[in-house]
Amino acid sequence: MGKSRACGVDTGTMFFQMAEQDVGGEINIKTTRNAFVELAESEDDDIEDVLKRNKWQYVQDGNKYYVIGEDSLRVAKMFPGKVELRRPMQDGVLNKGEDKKLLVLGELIESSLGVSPDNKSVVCICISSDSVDGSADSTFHKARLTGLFQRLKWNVKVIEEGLAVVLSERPTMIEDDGTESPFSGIGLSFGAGRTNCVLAYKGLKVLGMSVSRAGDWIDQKVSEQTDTPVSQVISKKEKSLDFENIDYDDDVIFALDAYYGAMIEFVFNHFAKKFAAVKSQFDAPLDIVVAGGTSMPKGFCKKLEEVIRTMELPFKIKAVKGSKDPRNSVVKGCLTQSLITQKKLSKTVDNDDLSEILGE
Amino acid sequence: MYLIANATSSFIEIEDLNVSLQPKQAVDLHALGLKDRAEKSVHLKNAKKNGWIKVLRHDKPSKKITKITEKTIEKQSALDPEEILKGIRGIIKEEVKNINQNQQLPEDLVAVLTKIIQANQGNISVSDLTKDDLDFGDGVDLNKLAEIHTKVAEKVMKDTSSSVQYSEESIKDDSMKENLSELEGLL
Repeated sequence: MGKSRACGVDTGTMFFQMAEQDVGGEINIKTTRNAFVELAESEDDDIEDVLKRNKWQYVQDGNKYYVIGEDSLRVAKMFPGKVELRRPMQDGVLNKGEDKKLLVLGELIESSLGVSPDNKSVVCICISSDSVDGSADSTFHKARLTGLFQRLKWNVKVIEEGLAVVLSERPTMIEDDGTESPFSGIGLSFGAGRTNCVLAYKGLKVLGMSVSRAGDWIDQKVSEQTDTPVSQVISKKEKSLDFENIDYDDDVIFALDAYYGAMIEFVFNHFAKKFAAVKSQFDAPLDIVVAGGTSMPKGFCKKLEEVIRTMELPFKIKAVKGSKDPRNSVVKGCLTQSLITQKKLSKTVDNDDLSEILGE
Repeated sequence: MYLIANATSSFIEIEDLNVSLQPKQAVDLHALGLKDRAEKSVHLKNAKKNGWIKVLRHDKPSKKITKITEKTIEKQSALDPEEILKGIRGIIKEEVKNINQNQQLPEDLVAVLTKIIQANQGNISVSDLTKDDLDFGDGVDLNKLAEIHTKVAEKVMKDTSSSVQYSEESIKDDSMKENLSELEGLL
């Protein structure tokens, strides 16, 4: 038996990430693109040699091979429209139309995490909160994902993605008596497939929701409205979009600005409805902490603040704070939770019921 | 208006439209901005065929639009996959050359790339909806479901191996230590 481990994993629609703290306290993060392309079935023995020699990343299943990670994207870019880039995840949950999702995701999990060294090691994974716009359901996703980690003998702690942002970014709330309550506020993760939102109080989720309007939705809409290929929209979004300096003569930038605004409004309209149920408990102004790849364009937080200040919301806003590390914020939040859970587990004895520690 | 209803007593998800319906729930697909996608949805078509989805009202799109769509499909189906493959074989060498400018062209890699193309020839389509694709809210305990999926994963991963490289970064984050001690007191 080795030393107990605590890890955080974010199986995002776009990227797969794993985080672990080393003995010196530094956080090591492994990232790869959560995508693959398929090679035709072959009896040829030397395919594996060729892939190895050329340092391509792959998964082998019997005599079938799949090029995965960044290499899959490279292949898809070489043959646009002719090679299908396939994804284990879609809209923030396991892609139901993809029959190889478990195979590819299972290998990513095994190669990044390995088998648990003992029965006290913990992996914390995140899932989307319940959908409020009639899109994907995450119950099935949660069970399948948990199964993939349990296969490697890990204790699995599952949290909602928005809570991971709260644990990582530490929003605060000032109580009536002037004391500060840490990890209290709204955590938002703007991903590729979904936007996740959690209201937390002292590190515990009070309510959570998710919508399918996120990065992919914006890319698709802008592409449709401007007759521009999605790949070009993404490129412009990543390289030129600056909300503090919108070029309204550029139709793609103009449309990106408009659809980002529409996405923010949609998210907060739904959140306001959910919030109404707990309104009486949250009179104090709330911090809003923001993370995720879709929040990366310059000036995003200012844009978000501008949009929501025009809305009639059932809560007051203290501040909108962008993560300093938006791409890694969610996986760092998962790591934080796993370290806490692992410490609790280490105090248990073999016959203890762990469901209270591992349950949500 | 394209008003559909879940005719079953189970939760249904129309995968390629990203629409979920509770038992007996109805939804207007046009109001959801799915006018074009609803007409093309394979999953919706299958769900209707199997009687899981009932159409309550369907205002068809104008004939003009239908004509354009048909023309586009005709144009697409005129492409011969064999011709595409032949053309691609020719450009593979050029493309690989561009990627590995300082290396000699690996001939064997061309064979692998050709296999990728072959595998993807008939693949760029939406899969048909099967019973497996539907989410049924069947009330099974989540821990039991996870156990079932652990066994499924073991079966799926029986003969697999992989070679994966990750981009790795080490981050010094002083706030995490403080966050942890604070959270330990809270949680």
